[in-house]
Amino acid sequence: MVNWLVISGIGMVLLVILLFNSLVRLRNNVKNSWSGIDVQLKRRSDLIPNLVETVKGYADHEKKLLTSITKARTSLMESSDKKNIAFQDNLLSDSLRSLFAVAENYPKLRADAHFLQLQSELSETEDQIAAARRIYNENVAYLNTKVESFPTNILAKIVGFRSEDYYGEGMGSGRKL
Amino acid sequence: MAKVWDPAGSYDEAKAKAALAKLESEIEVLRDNPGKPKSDLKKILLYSSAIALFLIPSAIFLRIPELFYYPGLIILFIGFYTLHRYKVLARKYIKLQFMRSADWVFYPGPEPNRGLQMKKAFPELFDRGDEQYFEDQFWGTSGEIPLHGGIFHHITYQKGAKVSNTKKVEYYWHYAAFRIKTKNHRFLLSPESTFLKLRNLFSDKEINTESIEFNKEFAFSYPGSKEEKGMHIMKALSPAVQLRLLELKRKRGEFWVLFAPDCIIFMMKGKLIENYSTNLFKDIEVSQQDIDTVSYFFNDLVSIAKDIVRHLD
Repeated sequence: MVNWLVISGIGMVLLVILLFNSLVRLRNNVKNSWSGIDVQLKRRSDLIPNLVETVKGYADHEKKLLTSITKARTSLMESSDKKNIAFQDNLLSDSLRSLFAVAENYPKLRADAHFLQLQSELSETEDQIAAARRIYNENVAYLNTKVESFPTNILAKIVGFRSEDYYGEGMGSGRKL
Repeated sequence: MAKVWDPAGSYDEAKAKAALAKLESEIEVLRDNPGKPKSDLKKILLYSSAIALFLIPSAIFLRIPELFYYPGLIILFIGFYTLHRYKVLARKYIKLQFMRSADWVFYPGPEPNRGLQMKKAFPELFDRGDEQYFEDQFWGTSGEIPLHGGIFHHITYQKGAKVSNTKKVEYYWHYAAFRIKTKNHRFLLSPESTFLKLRNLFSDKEINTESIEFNKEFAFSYPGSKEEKGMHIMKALSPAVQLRLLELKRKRGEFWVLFAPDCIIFMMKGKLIENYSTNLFKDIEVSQQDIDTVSYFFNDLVSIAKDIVRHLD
C-alpha cells in the first residue's frame, strides 16, 4: 500500500513538472513570436523617414498624409502595450496604403528608383509582419488551449499562467501595400 | 531559350539535345502510325496464341510441362515489357508537352555521370544509397528565377546472410532547384522524425524558430556549431518563409529542402507523375488533364519557391 502511494506520488510530481515545463515553453514561444513582430515593426519604422523624404520631393501637396504617417510611426514606436501597438500598427499600415495609392497620381515619383526600392522593401516587410502576426496568433492559440484545458488549467491557475490576447483581433491582417 | 543555369554547373547541351531528339523521333513514329501500340500488343497476343496452340498439346502429349512454361514466361515478359515501354513513353510525352509550353529545356532519360556530380555538389540530398541516377531533367526560368529539376533515383543493396540474398531496393524522388542571388548559409531542413517529435515534448530543440508548428514539423541539420549557424538559419527562415514552408507541407506532405549558398533545392518522394490518364493504346494525344496536373504541381511549387527566394533575396 505504502509502495503504491510512493509510486503514485512520484508519478504526480513528474506529471506536474512536465505540465509546468510545457506551459513555460509555450509562454516562451509566445514571447519569442512577439519579438518576431517587434523586429519587423522596427524594420518598417526604419524605412519610413526615408520614404517620407522621397515623397516630399515630388508630392509636397500631400503634407497632411505625410504628417499622419510620421505621427503614426512615432505613436507606434512609443507604444508599449500590445493592444496599442496592434492599433497603431494598423493605423500606420492604412496610412502607408493611402500614400502608395496617392503616389499613382505622381508619375515622376512612381518612376523614382529610390521610391520603387522603398516600396518593394515596405511590401516585403508588410508580408513579414503579416506572417509574424499569424505565427504569434497560432502560438497564442496553443498556449490558450493548454491554459484552458484540463488538467493544465488547474496548474495554470495555481502558478499564475493566463490566456494571452490575440494580436489585433478584428484589425488589419497584412493586406498588401 | 536564355542561358541555362545548373546548380552543379554541368549542363550538357549536346547530350540533352540528343536525348530529346530520340524521344521526339519515337513520338513522331507514333504520330505517323497511331495504331502502333495497339498493333504491337495484338501481334504479341497473336504470336502467343499460335505458340500456345502448338505447345499446349505438345506439352500434354509429351508430358513435358517445361515446353509450355518457358516460352509462356518469355511471351509474358515481352507483353509486360511492351506495356511498360508505352507507359514510360506516355509519362515522358506528358512532361515534354509541359516543358514545351513552359519553354524549358528537357533532357528525357537518364544522364550518365550526373549522379556523381550532384552527389558531390549536394551530398545532403543526393548522397543516398549505393547508386544514384538522374533522369527527365529540365532547366528553365520562371519570373526571371532560373530553375532546374528532375527525377532522382537511387538504389540500395540490402545484404542478406548469403550473397544471393542481397535485395535491390529502388527509391524515386523528384526535386526542383531555384537560384538565389543572396549567398545562403548551408543547411538542410527535413521532416521531423516521430521519435524526435516525442523527445521535443520534454526538451527544447537546438534551434527553435518562432513558430511552434514549424518546430514540430521540421528538423535542421547543418555543418558547424549552433552558435556559428543558428543566427543565419533564423535569418533565412523569416516568418513569411516559415509559413510558406508549412503551406507546402500541408499541400504536399513530407519534403526536404536544402538551403545551399546560391540556391534552394526542394526534394519530395515519388516520380512526379504517378497517376495519369494519357493512354497511348487509345489515343496518341497527351490528355489535357495530365498537362494541367503537371502545370498545377509546378505552378504551385514555383510560386512558393519564388516567394521564398524573394524573401531570401
